[in-house]
Amino acid sequence: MLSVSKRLRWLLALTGVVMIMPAYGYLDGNSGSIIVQALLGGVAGILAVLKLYWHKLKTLVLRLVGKAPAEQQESDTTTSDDVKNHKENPSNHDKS
Amino acid sequence: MTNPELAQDPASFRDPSGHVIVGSDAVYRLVMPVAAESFSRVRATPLFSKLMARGWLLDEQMVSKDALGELAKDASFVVKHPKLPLITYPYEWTFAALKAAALRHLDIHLLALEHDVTLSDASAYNIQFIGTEPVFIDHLSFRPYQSGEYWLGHRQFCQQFLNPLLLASRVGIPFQSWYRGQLNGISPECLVKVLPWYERCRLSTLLHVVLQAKFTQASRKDVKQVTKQSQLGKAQFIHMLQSLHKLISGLKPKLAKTEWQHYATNHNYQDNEVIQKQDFIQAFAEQVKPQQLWDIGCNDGKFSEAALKAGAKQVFGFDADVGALEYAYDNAKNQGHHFFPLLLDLTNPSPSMGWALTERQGWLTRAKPDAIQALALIHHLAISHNIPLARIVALLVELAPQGIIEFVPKADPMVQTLLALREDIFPDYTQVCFESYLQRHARIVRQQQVTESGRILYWYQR
Repeated sequence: MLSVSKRLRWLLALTGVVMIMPAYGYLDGNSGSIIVQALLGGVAGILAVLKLYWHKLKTLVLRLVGKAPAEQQESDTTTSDDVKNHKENPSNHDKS
Repeated sequence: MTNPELAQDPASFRDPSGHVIVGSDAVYRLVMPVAAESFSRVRATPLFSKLMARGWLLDEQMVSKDALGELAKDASFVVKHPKLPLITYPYEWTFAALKAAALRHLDIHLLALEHDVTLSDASAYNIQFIGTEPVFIDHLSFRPYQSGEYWLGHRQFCQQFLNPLLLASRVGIPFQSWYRGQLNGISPECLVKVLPWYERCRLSTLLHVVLQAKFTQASRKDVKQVTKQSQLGKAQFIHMLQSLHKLISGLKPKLAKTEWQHYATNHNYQDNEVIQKQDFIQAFAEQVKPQQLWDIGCNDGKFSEAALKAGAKQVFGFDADVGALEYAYDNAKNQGHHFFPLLLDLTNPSPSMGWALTERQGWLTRAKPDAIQALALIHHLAISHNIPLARIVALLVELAPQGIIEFVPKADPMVQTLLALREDIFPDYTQVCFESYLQRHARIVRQQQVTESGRILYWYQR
């Protein structure tokens, strides 16, 4: 188990990640609950969640230092194309 | 043959693992084949007997399927429970009652996990109150715990217990109206919008409210990936329940001062007038010995207490003032009274709601008490809310075959205050009219003036 202060640091970092999360369609109310529990579950859960959003974080950092190629930049808005793209090319999302 | 007095509970249809049949003096739970093995495994542990011994779980007894005839033909088992006199809903409870229910839910779950049993949901509607004590009523919510599984009831627990309590405690908005408008409770996505920024920064609210609301946007596929890569260990599961318990234990309502909140401290119960009132109530309760008395406009519950002492078996109190109700609940709990105070605005009582308007029953049709008392109430309805006196009397008498109603005349200082800033458009608000309205529906058994201002108590019998 992580100490409270370590966990808090993880959570603050994650909060930053969450701010750049894209929104997808077909929302399931339990998604948030499961991911919060994964974070509470320990290192494996935190890594799993970080992995999920790693490419987002990477894109953000690259964008901030001005090295992000234009095609890597993703829109934060929800559109049907986003959902379609996500569903048809899940491998894009899995790359980390 | 099926007993004509038995009927399926209209609220019992969402879970295919069982159904509830309501009889005149008992409730029967049908355990369907799909849940038979799981239920048997839970019942084989000492969990149920431990919970029932502590008074945390409604009593149960396995009975023969024959008791229900055709109704039970498809069931694997039939379990019999005592029938509760009045089903109440979380949007009618006080802050302290919802808090007690939340803590009881967590305590039950923690004890269950000790026996490798978990709860399949976290519905606040699965808790009812006996006196001021929360009791869990859905025995089919228990199922064997699977190692590494996530708490599927976490979001529901947040919506139905934690978030309403945070709303009242951290924002200062009473949760009941919002809860009544949204049967599933208050979602993290909505609560996060009203939480002040410094509240959002607390670790507990950051996790259970802010992050939960944010991650709701994650796709199902992403969530599946996370659950595939990590499990929730039992120790972490228990730690999460314990930390929620600690968080909720420290919550207190941040409510604005209400009109009647300090009624008890501002009111002298040794006053001769109050003593006369209590004597009248006691004489009524001693003779009628009501099994279930409703105290409409119960305030801090002092006159409910008088009825209980004189022979009323249990009293449900109703009032529109949350401050007075919080005091009433704490007082009844400390004194161990068989009294449960509930939020009720008589001009707009809890309606029938949910699927086909049968899932949650409206206040008027839910139960019938065998007696009522309505003290210092009718002038507020008539003068402040313009409800015609005849209609007030008709509704109160319709509630129960016998009871006490207090008539407060225009000469009374309280009525004078109510009339001070408005035109007197109530020509029939008189003692004579009141008596004639009452006698349309009932017989006046006894009447007694209890104050110098002319307040009169009427004991009626339909």
